[in-house]
Amino acid sequence: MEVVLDRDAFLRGLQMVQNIVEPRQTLPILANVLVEAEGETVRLTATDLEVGARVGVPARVASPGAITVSARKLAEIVKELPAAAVALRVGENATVSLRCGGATYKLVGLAPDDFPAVVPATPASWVTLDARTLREMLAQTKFAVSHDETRYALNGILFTFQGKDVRLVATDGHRLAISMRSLGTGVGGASGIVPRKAVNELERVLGAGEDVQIAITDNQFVLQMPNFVMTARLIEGQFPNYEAVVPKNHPGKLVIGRSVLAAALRRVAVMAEERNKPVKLTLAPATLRLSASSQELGEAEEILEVEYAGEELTIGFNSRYVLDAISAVEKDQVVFEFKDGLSPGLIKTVEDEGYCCVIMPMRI
Amino acid sequence: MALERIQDQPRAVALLRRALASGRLAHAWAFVGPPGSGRTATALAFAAELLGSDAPGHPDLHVIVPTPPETNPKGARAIRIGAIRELERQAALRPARAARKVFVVDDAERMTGEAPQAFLKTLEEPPAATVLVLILQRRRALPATVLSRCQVVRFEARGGEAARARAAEALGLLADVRAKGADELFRRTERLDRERAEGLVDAFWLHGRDLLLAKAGAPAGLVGGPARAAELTREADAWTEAELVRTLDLCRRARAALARNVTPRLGLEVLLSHLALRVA
Repeated sequence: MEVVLDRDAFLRGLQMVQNIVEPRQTLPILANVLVEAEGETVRLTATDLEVGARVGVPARVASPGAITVSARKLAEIVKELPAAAVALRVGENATVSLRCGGATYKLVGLAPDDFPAVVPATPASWVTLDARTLREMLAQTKFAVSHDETRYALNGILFTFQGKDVRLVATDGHRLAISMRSLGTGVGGASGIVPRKAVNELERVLGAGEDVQIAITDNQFVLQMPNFVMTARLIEGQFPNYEAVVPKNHPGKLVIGRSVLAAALRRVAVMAEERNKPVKLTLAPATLRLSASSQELGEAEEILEVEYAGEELTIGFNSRYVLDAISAVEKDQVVFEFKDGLSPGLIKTVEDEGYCCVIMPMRI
Repeated sequence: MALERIQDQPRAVALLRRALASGRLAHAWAFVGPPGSGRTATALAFAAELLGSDAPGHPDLHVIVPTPPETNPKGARAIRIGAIRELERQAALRPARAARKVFVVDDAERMTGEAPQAFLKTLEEPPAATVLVLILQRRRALPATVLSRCQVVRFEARGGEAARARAAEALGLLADVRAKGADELFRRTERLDRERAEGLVDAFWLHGRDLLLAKAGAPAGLVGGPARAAELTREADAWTEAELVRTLDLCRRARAALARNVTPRLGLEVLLSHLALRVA
């Protein structure tokens, strides 16, 4: 194999796949990135058997071929190189020589034969959506993903395609976030739980404007962009019946500016107990009183004028959960719905129906 | 069939074949037998059957082996709780290519501390499409709670080498105790584990049977050739038939007692003092 690439394009490509490589690996070859040259592209592939990604980088291919080299070292090297042409050549015994300007490197590689295949069987149907929309939906659900490893079905985001709707759901048992968008076209029917690592990678690679294609196959989630494909193994198991958890027709509706509520919550939570940061919300017509107290430290209180017309009630929440839920939206006005002091609260945005977050109250 | 390549373990292979053919697979297996009896090779062949491919480095085949601690590469090799947690994380994912995932835990008795406890939930009820194979030397090496969740497959030592070695060890011990007396007896039975004690009792039991046969004038073929027959006859002269029958009975009782949690040392001391010193 012998190729010449542009250093900047090479680095961008490496950065898109390199994060997938885990520092500690069970199979030595998984610490490597697979470099394949064919036609006018060099394909870079990395995988940890859970998430895999492949990116195409334009290149001048003098002779096609394939090799694997340490992903970390290759990225480190290319990062330090000047913006010039980088020449790669595979020599005897899987050694790779790399030349750029006056700098030369010799890297010990591994034969590509044992590198696990990343690219999936072609999915039956793709769902096309805007990268920005997908990014937004991820941000609106990711915070609720559980970290409890014994409940593995909750360690990811549930993707559901149904009718014309794409829906993302995450929960950790204390809160539940749902983000839904209606697309103009039908999306078929499929669902699967995408693990947290894949979600993080998705967020990293999604750009600003372009359209992306996603699909759920029997066992994989697939993302496709021009010159890029990423696959992730789905989580096995049954996602809870989340629809039953979302309260309908809560009578009390509080409408408040997101930044106002967030700032007041942060101020009051300073005095809350360290572990769960519980904050008490006392609602009366047109006012919201936020208070927190801790036996050793003292207490804090703040009164806000709000739009609220329901009955008087007092309810306690983990303030972090409320902050997470309201930071995930872009619109400034949020609606906070209540029934009584012991029923879950529901956070939505005023205009957009696509997002909601259910938060279990705390006894205070 | 990858399993066809496994020689010398017809019973284990037949059992696995039946399970594969019936399609009703246990989700957890324990391959129990001495090292060198082909447990790992069988486990890998079984995995190849389950995955429908024996390509090396199949992404749905996970082999867990004891590793030294992260901070000290020269430390004791063990299967630590971190490895079990990683296994659980992998098991929670859908298979990458095949219809299921297979996890082979080699030297499973090297699970330390909390690792077996952490493993229980997954062993009892693994995520769908998961098959776990534990490889271990002795049943008792793992808590009964772990083993009870597994379908046990026994592997015999190849070509009876282990049995011959055990018999030689037992006879050596007998000769030493006869030559050096009670002190040697007590010294040699110190730090004796249950499995070894059972092996020794079995060997003495067989030796007792051979002595009785020799005493009764059985054909040399029954006791392993004329040379051994002559040797046995010489030794048997020192015993009466009734005494030999009593010896066999003592062996039987020692074996039963060991199975019922009598201290291995005590069980063997009683037997040896009878056999070697004629006191019990």
